[in-house]
Amino acid sequence: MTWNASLVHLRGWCVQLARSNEEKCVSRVELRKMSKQFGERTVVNEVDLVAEQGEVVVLLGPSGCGKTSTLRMIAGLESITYGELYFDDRLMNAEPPDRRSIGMVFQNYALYPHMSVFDNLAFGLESQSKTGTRSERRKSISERVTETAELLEIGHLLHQRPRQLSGGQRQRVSLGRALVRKPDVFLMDEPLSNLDANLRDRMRMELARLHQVHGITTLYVTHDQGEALTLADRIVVMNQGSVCQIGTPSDLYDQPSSSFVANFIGMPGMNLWTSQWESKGTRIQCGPATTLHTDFRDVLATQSRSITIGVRPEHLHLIRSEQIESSGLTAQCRVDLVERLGSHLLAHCTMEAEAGAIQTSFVARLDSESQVERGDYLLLAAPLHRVHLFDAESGDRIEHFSSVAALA
Amino acid sequence: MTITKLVSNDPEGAHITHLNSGTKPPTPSLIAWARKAKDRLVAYGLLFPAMSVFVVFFYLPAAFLLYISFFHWGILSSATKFVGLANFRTLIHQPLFLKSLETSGYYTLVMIPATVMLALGIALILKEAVTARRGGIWRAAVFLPHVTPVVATSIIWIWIFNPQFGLANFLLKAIHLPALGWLESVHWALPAVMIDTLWHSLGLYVIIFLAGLANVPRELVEVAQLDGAKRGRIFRRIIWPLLSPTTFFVVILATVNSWQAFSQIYTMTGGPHGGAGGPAFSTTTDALLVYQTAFIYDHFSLAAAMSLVLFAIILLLTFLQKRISNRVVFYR
Repeated sequence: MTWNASLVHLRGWCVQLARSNEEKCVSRVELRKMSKQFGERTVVNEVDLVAEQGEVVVLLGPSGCGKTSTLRMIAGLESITYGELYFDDRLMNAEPPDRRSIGMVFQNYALYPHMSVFDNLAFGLESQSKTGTRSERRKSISERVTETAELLEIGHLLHQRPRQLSGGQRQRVSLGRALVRKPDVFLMDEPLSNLDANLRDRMRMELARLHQVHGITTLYVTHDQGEALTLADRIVVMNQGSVCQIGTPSDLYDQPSSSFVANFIGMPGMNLWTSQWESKGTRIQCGPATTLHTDFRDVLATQSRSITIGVRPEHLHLIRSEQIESSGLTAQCRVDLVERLGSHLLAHCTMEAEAGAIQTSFVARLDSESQVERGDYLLLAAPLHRVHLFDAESGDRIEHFSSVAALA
Repeated sequence: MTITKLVSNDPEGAHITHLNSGTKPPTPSLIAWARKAKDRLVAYGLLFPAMSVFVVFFYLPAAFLLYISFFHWGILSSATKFVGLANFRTLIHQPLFLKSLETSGYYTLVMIPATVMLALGIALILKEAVTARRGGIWRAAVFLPHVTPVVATSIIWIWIFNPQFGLANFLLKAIHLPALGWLESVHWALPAVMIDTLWHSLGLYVIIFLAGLANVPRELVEVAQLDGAKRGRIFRRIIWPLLSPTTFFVVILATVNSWQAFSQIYTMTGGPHGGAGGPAFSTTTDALLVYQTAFIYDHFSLAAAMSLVLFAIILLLTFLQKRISNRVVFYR
């Protein structure tokens, strides 16, 4: 026996052992250039992605970005046009859904309306188990169902029909149905978006807790960045069928790879404004209102004449003109609208633009005590390592020294 | 409205209303009454044209039918005589009537499962085709027989079932099966009519099933697939139960249509073919016998009694089906 073959053998044995001990049974999911085309239209474009064992990977993007199609291809509900899908080292492209060992939760719960909660949970187990006598099977199914129901606190609902349940309870049943078979991979397609805001926050925490218990590799689709940031080990930001960036929540927040990601992540998203720039000694002037005080013009010197500057609303603060520091960004603007949100306020501002250009509006998140009124002229500043630069045409991130240094 | 209610709920207020009712300004309750009366008048006015047609052509004849079933009544004779239940008593002792009920029952009993199975089968196949590019053509093709005139197509089916040079026997011979007498045979005349009826009526039921299938959420089937269920199990446990209201509707329709089947039976085995309905009355269903009794033998009262029995049977069956459905049919 070759070394490799014996390794494979050992691994198979480990998996078997893990299953027989009812241990956490996890699987690694890998997508290689996976694509989906409907006729001429490309919905998912060469997605490369690895979800490691036990990891929660969130697919995040605006509606129509291809995240759900990606999930459905992983589930086997949609054929893969080209590219490959692996679970561990097994190629899954041609496997039918029932042989992929997947638990899936749909946005509208998709509970079997004519079955009791118990039967909803038991349905998958009945399809699965083929060993033992009828009564043994029934007993083990009943045990598994009860156990899962207890975990999800729906034990008292087992004899009710789905229509008798509230939205939150239905969602729990739907989770239970996916969990009860102990799948290798967990897929969730916007599971919380049909719930009201309060319940959604609670269920989000619940999902995080559940994952700690079962530890199943999970792919989670959402357009809600709050969910993504709380639940994800890593987030995949998608737009128009392609992956924009893969990273941890803090990666995406601190170092967005493109202006799309920068604007998509954050509440509200990052302020972006594009302008011509010119170097003036130790500062760079971008339009009449924005000044970038920086010592490393050489970085910018290689780029095009026009850049996109990005600053998060929460990184802007008010300064007086005599406080302008030697490094950082300053911007002059007029306040159009003030939103007071209790803990803080959002000042929606317009910046004076160069002649002929569109006026740039942006948002600053300020202390709730700030004396800011509509019509005020403000001077706002942000430290240099909080300033992001993007290529104005491609939207790609331009690394500048301070952003790298600050994170090092 | 609210004011009136408040007043009448409160004993003192009721007293005031009582006092006011005699004086000049009309009480709120009187205004409400007038308003309601006006609404009613408008409603009945709008109902009148449709209702009058319905009464003249449906309720009055039905009432008249009930009336003559207790009389000896002829369309040309003036001697109308009350005979009580004599007509019904005659029916019970009439072997042909009992046989016709048996024939109708047999016809219905075969037609219902055949209709449901074939229509659902075709609908399941077409469901895939519906989403395809030329799905509409298939649907139209299946529905087309239903919009053709029964009598005309039945004549074509008479040719098909011709024992000497018909298509049916040609096909049987082609697969080395013995040729059948079809409409000229005691055993095969009714099945031949059934085949014609199925061909003619399936289109409607297929469309009804297609609509029912479209209402089964796609996610449920997908979830069942992910739950590891195979096709057969998905159909048995998910699609069939969720389709039950549609199936129930089809069963009711097929039952009523089967008991009332007339045109195709008359065209294929009645009238020119001996008048009776198949060789040795083999296709004489209740509906056909009613027609013959009334319009060939002029026993209108007897025919009226027969159709009342037929009505009672259909009513009873529908009622039974409704009772059963409460346990079997799942309404979302």
